[in-house]
Amino acid sequence: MELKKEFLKGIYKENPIFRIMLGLCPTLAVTSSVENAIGMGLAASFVLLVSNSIISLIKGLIPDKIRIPSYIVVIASAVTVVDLVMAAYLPSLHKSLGIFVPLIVVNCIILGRAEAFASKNKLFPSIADALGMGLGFTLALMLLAFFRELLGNGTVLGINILGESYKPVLLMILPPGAFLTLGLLLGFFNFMDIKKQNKEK
Amino acid sequence: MKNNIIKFSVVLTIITGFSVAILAFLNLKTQPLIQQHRLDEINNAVKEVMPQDVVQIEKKETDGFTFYIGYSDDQKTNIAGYATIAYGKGYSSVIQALIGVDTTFTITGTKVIFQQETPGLGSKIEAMGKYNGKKQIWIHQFIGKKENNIFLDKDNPDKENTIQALTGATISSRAVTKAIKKTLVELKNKTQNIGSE
Repeated sequence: MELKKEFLKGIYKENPIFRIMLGLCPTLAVTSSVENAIGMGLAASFVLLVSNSIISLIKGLIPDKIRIPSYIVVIASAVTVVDLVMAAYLPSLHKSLGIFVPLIVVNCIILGRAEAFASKNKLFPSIADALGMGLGFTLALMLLAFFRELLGNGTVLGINILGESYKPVLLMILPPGAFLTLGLLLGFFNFMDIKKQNKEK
Repeated sequence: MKNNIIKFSVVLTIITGFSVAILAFLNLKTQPLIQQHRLDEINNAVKEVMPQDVVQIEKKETDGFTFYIGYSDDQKTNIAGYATIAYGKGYSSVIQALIGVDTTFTITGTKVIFQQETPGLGSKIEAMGKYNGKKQIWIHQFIGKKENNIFLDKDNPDKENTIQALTGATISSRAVTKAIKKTLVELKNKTQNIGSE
């Protein structure tokens, strides 16, 4: 029951992008197509799972004052391990996900979850947290990418949706489109929340 | 306090040491495999752009110019074509395009092997589209052309059978066109003496 709660919170209530607002840099960079979004989401989820697991296991050994540099070393190593293993044994997967892996090192979600969750919880809740946060991150990226790819290229997952006559709004797949979409989505989710709170009153 | 500093350093050193050991071991294990994959990838791409009857490929380097020779028999006596990489300075990256030619130096295949152009604009050099009335990958427009027949429509409005530039990505289109033309001449010069060797 407890595990389910830890898992579910990452999807909406504490969604890393729309609620905690972490990891926005890679978010803005890779959401120009749904395919990229899925790739980045899966790669980040996997690293999150590895780093959360390791940190929840060694948390007792790390003195409080040097926990941040320790986490950074663990995360950077985990990312490199994932990168090397993928390149050596899963070359085709590495071809499609490889470009995202170096970006994960600077993804604040990984460090954020290590600090906020894995350093205070046992292994299994940490795994549930990582999976939930990873899924929430992936879904949020896909939502952003969906709007950007649809409006900016007329396609979703490379499949033409809006027809040949649609003239793509190129701005949407360029960097400004990322900021615009993210801003509007954030506004939408906050609006929904306020409406819900007013109702409860 | 002093004790703490020593303790912190020791713990951090141990963690870093562990990481280094794991990464060093893994690097040693995976490096040969990764190199092999990279080699396979290039070889496959080279085969893809060369004339269809090529069965053996040999890599050659003269004066810093790398190219591939394609043979149509296993004994490596019959040269069927060549391939090399054209480098063109695009809008936001150096575009690398592999080009293959037959013995008359007519382009038999093209493939973008590296580019970081603007997504949705310059990146379309390796995407499907409708160019010159035909559904094809943009860079495939070069197939069947010779060095003296490569012109970008924007820069040569008076020529016929030109390469259709990408809308909103003239710089990328121009970079690839120029690079392929230049590299083709270079390839021709560098391979001149091979047959008579």
